[in-house]
Amino acid sequence: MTRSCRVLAGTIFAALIVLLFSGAPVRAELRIDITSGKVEPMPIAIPAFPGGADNESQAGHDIAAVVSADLERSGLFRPIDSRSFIQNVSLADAQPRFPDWRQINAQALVTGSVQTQGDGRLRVEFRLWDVFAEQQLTGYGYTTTRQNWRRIAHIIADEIYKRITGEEGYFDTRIVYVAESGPSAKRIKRLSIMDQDGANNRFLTDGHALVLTPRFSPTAQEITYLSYSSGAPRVYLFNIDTGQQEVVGDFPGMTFAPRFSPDGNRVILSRAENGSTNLYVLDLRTRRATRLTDSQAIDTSPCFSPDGSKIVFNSDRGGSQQLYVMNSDGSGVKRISFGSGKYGTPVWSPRGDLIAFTKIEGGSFFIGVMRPDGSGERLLTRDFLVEGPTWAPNGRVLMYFRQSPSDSQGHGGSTRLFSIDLTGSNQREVMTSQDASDPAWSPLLR
Amino acid sequence: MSLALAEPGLTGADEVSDEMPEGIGSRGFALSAALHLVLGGVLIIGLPRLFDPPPVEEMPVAVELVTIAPETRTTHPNPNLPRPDAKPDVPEAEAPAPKPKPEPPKPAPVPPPAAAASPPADQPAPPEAKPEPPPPKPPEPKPEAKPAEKLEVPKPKEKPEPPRQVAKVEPKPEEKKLEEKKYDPRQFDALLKNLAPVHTAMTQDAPPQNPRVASARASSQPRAPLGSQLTASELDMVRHQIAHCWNVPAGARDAKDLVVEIKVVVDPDGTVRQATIVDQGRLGSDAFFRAAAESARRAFFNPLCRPLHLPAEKYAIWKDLVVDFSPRDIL
Repeated sequence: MTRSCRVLAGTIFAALIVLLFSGAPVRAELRIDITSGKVEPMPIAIPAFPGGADNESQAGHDIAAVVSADLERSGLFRPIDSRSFIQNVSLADAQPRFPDWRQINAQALVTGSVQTQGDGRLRVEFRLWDVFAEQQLTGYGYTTTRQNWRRIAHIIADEIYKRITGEEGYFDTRIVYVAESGPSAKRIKRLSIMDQDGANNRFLTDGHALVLTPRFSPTAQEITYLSYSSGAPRVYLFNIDTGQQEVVGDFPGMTFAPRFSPDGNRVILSRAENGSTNLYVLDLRTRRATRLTDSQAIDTSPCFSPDGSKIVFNSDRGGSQQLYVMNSDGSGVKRISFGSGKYGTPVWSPRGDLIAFTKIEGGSFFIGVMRPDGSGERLLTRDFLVEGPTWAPNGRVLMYFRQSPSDSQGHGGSTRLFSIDLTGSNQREVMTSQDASDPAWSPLLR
Repeated sequence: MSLALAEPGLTGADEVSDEMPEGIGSRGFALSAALHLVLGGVLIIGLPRLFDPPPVEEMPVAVELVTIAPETRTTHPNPNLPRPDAKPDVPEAEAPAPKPKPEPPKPAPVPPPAAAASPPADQPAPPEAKPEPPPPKPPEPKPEAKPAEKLEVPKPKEKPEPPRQVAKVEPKPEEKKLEEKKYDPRQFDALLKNLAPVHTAMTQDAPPQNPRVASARASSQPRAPLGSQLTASELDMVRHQIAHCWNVPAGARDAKDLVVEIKVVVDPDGTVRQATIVDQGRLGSDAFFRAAAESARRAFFNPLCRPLHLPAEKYAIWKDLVVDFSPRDIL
């Protein structure tokens, strides 16, 4: 007994000694917490992509300019003035001279080249470098027809944006909108489409019929919109490739406010009948319509959540126009907006975390966002009339239209497109050749 | 009426007092005075406490004593680091081994830190670094070849001109399919290849550091005592300096919850030799994290943070740093 006690005591003592000495050499690094930093656009250098022949150099210059403009417009990058560049990048340079770029405070550098292949097509390559770490972050090559250089530039800008921010880009996209011209009493409205930077604009309809609320299909091949071409407002489908149009559904009365489901197989819309307006969903394959709401109020502006399980819409069923969310089969209707004023045109973010809306309060219009449960309402911009938000495919940027007030003779009152970052900063006008309203952002084209 | 009724009562009372004997009156007065005194005393001393809430026991306030350097202005460069002078001295003192190096300055160290080490902008360094980059170059050809094919997407634009031709419809689906087919595997390959240089750069750093990372995580206790060896002002200074070098990725989803741990090996002159993102696993799988982690890592190569303002005489303490970046104070 005593012997075993002694053994036990000895063991404990030995363990203590071991613990004591094993603890001694442990040495940890000094730890520092950094909880703040600079929030400013990243300085990036995008020299013209060199090419062998003159036309290649011109294309390289143009491509670099479009990439630069795309990134600058995002508000997250600050392209450095090319006049301050020290190194003149040439085709022979396999790797940039990093000290030259550090000296002008470039944190990122984009180099590239343009060459013509045997079949006459362009071979465009680019590389994104981390100037401080002297590492290549990404690099791709593309082969394309000469007239397609602009699209290649957008794709390159998307790759850069994605690599630096971790989010998908939105530059290789198009905007469908309503181009407006003529006096207010006799306004001509035409369905139009352009690249997200305003380039390559073309009209899809001739303007003889009024068109409203165009929306892109998730497949980017089709647009659904409202047209008065048959006299009464009806929802149509427009095939961008073929130019063919067709009426959606064979409803009596008015149909309006159409929008595609996330899978592109259904269209949800409003139908007015007997003084009330209800929501219907139409399967484009079977052409069968299903009624989703049954109220004596006006239910309109429906929009699916990105996973297709919910629908947000606005309704005056509670007395004033507010936002409601329900299941995609019409069950479980729940009001989500409780602020003062009226809410309309809700649009679910492609990443699902927010719903953008138009709010009218105190004679002013606002574009705002809130969470799908109605919490966290944030107003991004306010003006005389701002309306119709649409999300960029990455859910970080909104586009909408803004109308300025007109004078007593009806002059002024121009309508233009604007984009704004989700943070409420970086508001930019999207340049269009004439007045524009009702923008709808396409998904990424790839 | 009521007054007339009251008067008889009052007169009656007077009569009673008149009958009271003298002795009883003075004793009563003394008794009354004593009772009043006692009552007064109770009121003054005792009662207030009856109505007051019980006194709250004051909690002891923990006070942490930190060492403050004689100079506390964090914005000033640390006087302890006369870098130019320090540089030559320290390397020599540090290790005799480096001496042979001077001629082929960075033969051994070059491969791993090549990228990191060269930034100091020493003229010799960059040229030396270049021979190494060849590893990075190989990755270049890869992206070129593969994505090139995947992204032959020119056709959409050809459509615009004669918009409504049915003929075009067909080409599109074909293109689409091609794109899709090409896109998936190749983009994935390309992505992997693009990651390759990053990973190799990291892994070069990683092997020696991994054990340390483990030990650092395991031992949270030594953190306080070690940190306290640098004065509060010294810590503030370097914190301030790094914050100025960090371009925070703004607006990203859940950015608030992002915490990036960077392991840093610092040279005696305060120049960061290696900065390694600790969570390598998440680096490859989470694009948001990768963007945030790289922005944090970039901070150490920002000229404003080369060198870090740290007291040279305490090199042993800050030779190995672990820096946690979290934008929680900004967002």
